[in-house]
Amino acid sequence: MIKRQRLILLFIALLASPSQAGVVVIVNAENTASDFSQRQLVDLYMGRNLYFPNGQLALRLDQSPSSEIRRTFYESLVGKSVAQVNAYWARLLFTGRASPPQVIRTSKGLLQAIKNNPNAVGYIDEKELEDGVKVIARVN
Amino acid sequence: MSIKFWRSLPFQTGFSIALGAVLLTLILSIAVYNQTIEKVVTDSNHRISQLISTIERSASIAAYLNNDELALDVTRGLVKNDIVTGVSLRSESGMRIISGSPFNFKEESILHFPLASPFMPDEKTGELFIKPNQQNIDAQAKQMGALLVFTLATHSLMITIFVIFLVQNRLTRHLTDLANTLHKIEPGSAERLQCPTLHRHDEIGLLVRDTNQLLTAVQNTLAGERRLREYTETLEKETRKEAERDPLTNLLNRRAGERAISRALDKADTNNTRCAIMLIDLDRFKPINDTYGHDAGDHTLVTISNRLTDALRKNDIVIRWGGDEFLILVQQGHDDLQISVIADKILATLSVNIDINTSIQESIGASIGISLYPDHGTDPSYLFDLADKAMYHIKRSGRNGYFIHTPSDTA
Repeated sequence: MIKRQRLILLFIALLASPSQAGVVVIVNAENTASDFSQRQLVDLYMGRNLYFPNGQLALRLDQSPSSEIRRTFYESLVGKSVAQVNAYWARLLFTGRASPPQVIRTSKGLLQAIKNNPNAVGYIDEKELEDGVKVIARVN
Repeated sequence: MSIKFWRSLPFQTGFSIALGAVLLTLILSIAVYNQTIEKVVTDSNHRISQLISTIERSASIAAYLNNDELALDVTRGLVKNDIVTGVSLRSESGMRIISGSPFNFKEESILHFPLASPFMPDEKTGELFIKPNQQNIDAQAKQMGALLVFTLATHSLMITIFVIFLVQNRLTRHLTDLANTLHKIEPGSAERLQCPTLHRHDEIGLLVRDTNQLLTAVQNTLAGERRLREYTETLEKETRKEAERDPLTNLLNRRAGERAISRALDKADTNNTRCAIMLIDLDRFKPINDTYGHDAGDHTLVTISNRLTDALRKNDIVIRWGGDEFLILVQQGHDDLQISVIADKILATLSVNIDINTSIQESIGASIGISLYPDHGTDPSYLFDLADKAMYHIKRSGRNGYFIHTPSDTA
């Protein structure tokens, strides 16, 4: 059901803005991490495992809550809407131990933050890729 | 015969119904009780499942993230419910959180819920163990079971009372009444059973009708037997009389006469009275018989007999002693025994002429020998003998007279 929904959404997205060909997860070019599985990505972004394979604490970055790219990312990664993901973090807020990824308002800002921090990780539209960052996974 | 109460129909039917009801209620109660307990346990497990479904997401997330705070929040929340005494949340990666009283995970009553990853439904991230509040469940089961059993028992009791009332009222009471009435009816009497109005067309009605028919049959049979017995008695009496009487003169015959005299002498002995025995021999009977034939002789004898009977009192005894011999016992009445007067009276009545036929009359005449009780003796045979001798004394000395035995006389 979810898969089918995803396909339809993807199809609509493709028709609506042909510029968004795909969402890629990127890290600093110096980061040793490479080729994250979907499971690794889920655990990283949903707060289960906050470390890169080399033991460095990851700085997770999120796009603007109202952005199309954030919607597509979570839809593709865990099959949940942005609101559902927000609810997930809200549930954990009181424990004080788990915290959601840090929000960067624009893709440009996000790219800049990754270039500045070797342990940062984020996601952008494939079309906006620049040098200085490395793709470790493709979510759709 | 009275029926003991515990053997009586009302008690037996009532007791059987009550016993059956009690046993049935007992069996049903056990079944209902067990079923109730089972249902309470099922219900409790169902409630626990519902409870789990409300916290399942939080539990899954806690297990997914190994988040102790969230896990504790979940388990403490669960333990607050009175149907749960202990909760344990375990994650695949080793988190162990326990709330409430500790429990053995191998216990049969422990409920087990697997927790899937919130993002990958196929992946198991932990488990939830719930220990239901057995005390609470037992108390609830007992309460519900007791209520149901009480309701059942009350229903049974009411139905039993109703059935007993119905059976007594519709059946047993009438049977008891009929049995008591029938018991009092004498065989052969005209009494009959009364059929209760309501039962006219059922088995009780049939029983009453058939019993009444039998009573009628018995009455008829007994009445017939009674008539037959009366008839037989009459017949016997007549036969006995015929055996005692001389058929021609209707006087006592010699055999019956001897018995009657014996009895009369016993009575005289008791009353201390006197009696006279008179033996009468007709003087001229044989010539009449020879001259005019047997019919004339018979007529003469009947006439003589009637005259003797008429001349004497009722309690005197007249016997046809032989062919033309009669024996008389005269009993002392209130007065002295006036033998000569009586003897003269007899002689007088016997010398009156007898009509042999329309033209011929003959005088018979008699000789009387007399002996006295107890003057001459007490033995009847001896007294007969003395009277006989006295009679022959008269015969020899000219006939038509009487002679009283005299002890000095040796003739």
